[in-house]
Amino acid sequence: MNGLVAGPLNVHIGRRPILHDVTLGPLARGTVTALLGPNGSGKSTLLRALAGLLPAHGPITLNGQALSSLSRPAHARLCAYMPQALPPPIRMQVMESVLVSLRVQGGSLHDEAFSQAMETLSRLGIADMALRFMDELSGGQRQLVGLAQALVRSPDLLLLDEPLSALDLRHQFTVMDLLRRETKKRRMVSVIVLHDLSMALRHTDVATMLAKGRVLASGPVREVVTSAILAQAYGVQARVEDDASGMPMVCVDGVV
Amino acid sequence: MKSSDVIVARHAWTSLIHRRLGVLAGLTAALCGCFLANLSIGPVPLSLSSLFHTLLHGNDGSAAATVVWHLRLPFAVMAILTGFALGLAGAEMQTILDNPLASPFTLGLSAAAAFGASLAIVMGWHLPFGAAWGGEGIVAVNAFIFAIGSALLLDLIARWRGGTRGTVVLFGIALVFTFQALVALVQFVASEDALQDLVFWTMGSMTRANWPKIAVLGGACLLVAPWSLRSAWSLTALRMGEDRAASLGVNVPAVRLASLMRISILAALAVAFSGTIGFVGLVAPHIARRLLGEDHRFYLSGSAVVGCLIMSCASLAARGLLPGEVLPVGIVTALVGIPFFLATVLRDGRTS
Ligand SMILES: Nc1ncnc2c1ncn2[C@@H]1O[C@H](COP(=O)(O)OP(=O)(O)O)[C@@H](O)[C@H]1O
Ligand SMILES: [Mg+2]
Repeated sequence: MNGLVAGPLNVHIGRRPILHDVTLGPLARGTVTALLGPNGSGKSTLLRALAGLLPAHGPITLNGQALSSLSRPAHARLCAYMPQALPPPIRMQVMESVLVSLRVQGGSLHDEAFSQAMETLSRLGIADMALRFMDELSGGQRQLVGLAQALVRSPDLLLLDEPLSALDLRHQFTVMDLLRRETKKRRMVSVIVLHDLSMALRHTDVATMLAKGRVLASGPVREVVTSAILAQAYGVQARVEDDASGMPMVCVDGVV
Repeated sequence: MKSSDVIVARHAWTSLIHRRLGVLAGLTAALCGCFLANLSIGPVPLSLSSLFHTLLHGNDGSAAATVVWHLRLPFAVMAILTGFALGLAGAEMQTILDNPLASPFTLGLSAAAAFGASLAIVMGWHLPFGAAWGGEGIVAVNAFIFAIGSALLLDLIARWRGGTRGTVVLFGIALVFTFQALVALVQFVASEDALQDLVFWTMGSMTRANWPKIAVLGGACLLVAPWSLRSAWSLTALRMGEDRAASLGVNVPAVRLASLMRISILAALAVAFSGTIGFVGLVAPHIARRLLGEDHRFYLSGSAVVGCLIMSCASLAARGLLPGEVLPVGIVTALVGIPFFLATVLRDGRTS
């Protein structure tokens, strides 16, 4: 079985159950999945469980391999995860932080590593920042560096927690566009937590909607982002319409 | 993507590494100068040539040789080793607790170790095989037990859900006061003889240095430093956040525990042999970070060397400030360290 299949998963933090019988997938290689849901619905928790940072009760298999049986380093070789929190403003160069991301697993810093790092930075449009220090960058710029740290490792499974939260309009667009192209090209499974539903409609293939730690809907993104499901998940009255150029968008009219 | 960009980046990286190596070499050179000054300056001044002669020919019984081999050399070497231990311990502590105010002194490790040591002195405990050590062995072991105990406690608080940076600092300060009160209590009930010993611990001084102690602390530094450098990449990754490091494949709990072991060994031995010496473990990491950045291969070594340098300068100042008197080094480092500590607190408060 190719791609990611997870669940049913149950996750507890301390004694508190957070996720209840959550299933995800099968998500084919080369597809971008949007993970949607209101605040506190368990999106970050699910992503952390997939990244192996939280113990999950239930199976997670990637390309036929059970992820839970892997050691931490072996897991990290297959899977790159970007946390919701921005990279901290520390006295480290952008280039250096990307190289650390490549080097932690061992090996040496050969020319290959430098070209990989520079290529990733230039794809994200921040090659000119390579030699700047993280404590001199804005939040959005650091978020791009965080993305570079994840992308540079060419994982099989890419998990991004709200990668657009600090980005301006232009970068939101270029990042989503880049993620879609890279996902296809490298045949990754990408799971991305998003708050912007129009963005999800335009730039992702499939979606899973969480609410209160359970899956509310799952499937092609146009079938998940609908008035009925949005009303149920967020408690809003919303319409999904096509704009003048035929692109789908979500308009919120009020609360129910 | 142009290949010229890669070459430029590669070149910039190489020159950055070279600059950092240069800074490390400069610090080491300054340390050597300070070390020699420590040996030649004093009530009996020695010229550099006679100093080298004495060092090369061993202790031949002359007055100069006796001064160098029995007094100045042990003090100077002990000062450097203590600085090394405190600088390295402080650097690791600031990383694993993710806190710029962490150091063995500010968060109570030194106080705990001093209490462990004073307990052993006052109770007159002895190791069964430690007769040759005159009780020093058990003092060091007891200091270590208390140091690791409080280090584990601090780690627990730091990882406790809802435990913020502020919580850790406040808890550390509580540890400092608790153990200082306990040391005072022990002093109160101690006999005249033991009291003499105890005052030494609370001030921090090199005057009890001897070659066996130097061998133990030096051996510990030699063991711990490579162990520490082996975790350098993991610790660097940890600076980018715990989750990020874990997702890169770092076994965070294991790295933390190993680091706490090293910190406790270094802090406990430094306290057991030199008493509580404040602020070196706090200041050295900050200077190293400014000069060398966050790459822990350089940051850890840099902090250790800066610690050596500070202690070496302080022990020079301790002999020079009051003519004819040798001040306890701990007093000197505290006087210099407190303004720096305040500056750090103020800067940290502004940015966070
Ligand atoms: N460390 C934690 N300890 C206790 N509860 C937590 C913790 N992290 C998250 N939770 C709880 O789990 C639920 C889901 O959180 P999260 O996955 O962060 O939501 P989302 O990312 O969808 O906004 C929330 O109700 C939150 O209160
Ligand atoms: Mg979240």
